Amino acid sequence: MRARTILFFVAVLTVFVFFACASSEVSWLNKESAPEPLRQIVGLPSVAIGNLSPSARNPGLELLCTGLYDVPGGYCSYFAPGVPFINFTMAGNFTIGEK
Amino acid sequence: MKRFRNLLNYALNCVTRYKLRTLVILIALGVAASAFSSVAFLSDGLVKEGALSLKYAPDLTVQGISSGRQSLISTKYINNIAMAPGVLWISQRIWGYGNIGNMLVAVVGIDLNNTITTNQTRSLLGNSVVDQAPAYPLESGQFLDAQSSSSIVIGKGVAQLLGASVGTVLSIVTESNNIKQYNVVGIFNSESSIYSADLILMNLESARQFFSVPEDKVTDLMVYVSPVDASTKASLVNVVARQIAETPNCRVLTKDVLLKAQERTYGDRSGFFSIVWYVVLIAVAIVAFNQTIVVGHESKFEVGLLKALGFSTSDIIQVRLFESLVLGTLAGAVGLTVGIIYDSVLGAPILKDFLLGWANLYPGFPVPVFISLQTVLFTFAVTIVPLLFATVVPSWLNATVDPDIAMRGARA
Repeated sequence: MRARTILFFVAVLTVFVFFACASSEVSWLNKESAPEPLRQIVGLPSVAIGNLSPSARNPGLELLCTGLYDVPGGYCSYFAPGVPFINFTMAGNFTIGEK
Repeated sequence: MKRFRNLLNYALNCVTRYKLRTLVILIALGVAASAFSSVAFLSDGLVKEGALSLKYAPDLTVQGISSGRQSLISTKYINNIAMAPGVLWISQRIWGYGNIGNMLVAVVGIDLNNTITTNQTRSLLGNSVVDQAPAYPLESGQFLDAQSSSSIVIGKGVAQLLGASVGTVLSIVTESNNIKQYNVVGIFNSESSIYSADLILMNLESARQFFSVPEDKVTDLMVYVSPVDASTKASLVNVVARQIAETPNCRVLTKDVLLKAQERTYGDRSGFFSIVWYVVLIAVAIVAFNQTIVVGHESKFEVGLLKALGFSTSDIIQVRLFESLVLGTLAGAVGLTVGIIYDSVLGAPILKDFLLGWANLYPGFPVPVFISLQTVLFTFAVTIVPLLFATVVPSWLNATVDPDIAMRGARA
């Protein structure tokens, strides 16, 4: 392989990569600024909505997730410590006394 | 400039001369770069899609909670929540999952008589209001009519699976073993398929009958707070959320919490792949270092000769740096190109299933891919920088040896 051929490959592939990158960035920018009445009216914050279902979880990673499972956009144990406004009344509703 | 060009030419000749080393480094680094970039592009795309949906999501989602689990919420709370200062709008929603054959579908019922409009949402988001009817992403037919209780709009994935078109009457057996009939009045287009592929959209009362939800309950309440400037929005949302959280058997989810959960979900899943990638990268660095040392031994005579002909130590190090730069850039570009083709053209087989969940439950839809500049630059950095470090030490060791000793040593 000639030296110039290597440089040619490097240049062509690099240009392709940056072109794809620029094209992707622009298309996402356009997508973000366009109105989305369907997402707005449904209001569920997710990609492919079925992805939220417990039965659609990835079995390899999320087999044991059952706690707060059915949360729009949320995934069981990830949620438990992070939800600031869950009203777990029972948790603060106890007293410890001595006999 | 001429000196630079000569050194570059010599470095390129070295790349072609030491074919085995070039090939080993290219393959190893290329595989590492393609594995990393394909996961990152897909993961970024999914998070981006989630964030886009979240942008239009209500400020607060209020759900019922019973025995520590999410449950239906009573509609009697609506008046209490509406009284909270800062609450602009409350809309009810009933949604859930169902199976049609081997496919999981999401059935969503919306209150068409009390739905915040697109213009109101745009206003809440701080965008200019456009006075026109919302353009729903429909391939054919029309959107739901508030007056018709039996009409539904379905995603393209559902339509393809069932062979349904506009005008088809769909009979579905519900959870309570009743057969419900619905008229398909519209089908969402493929552009919205990442959001709507598995969607069956109907009005609130139809969904209530479909899931046998009692009259005074809904799945959740969508709460929008009054429009304020961005700096005070978060604190207003928190104040309102705290007020609503006082309601018994309720939990309140903010947009931020949902976004963090999504990011963690896809971050953790892609993180699993990233661990594999880190292992590959370390292996690649070792291979590159090893190959450079081996070639360094082979090129000892060459280095001695070059020094005898007047090349300085820095010239030789520069040649090796040029070599590494060209190899690293080529490997990075090849890896990124493979990653782009794998995700964008082939639709990320295997990886898509891993990141999305159970593949066989989904109707097909194109995966969102985000080729971010950050990922591209990072991939180039990890293919170039370790290689530079892995080559500079052996080449410096070779270049500092006396030419006579280097040539004699190489002969021996």
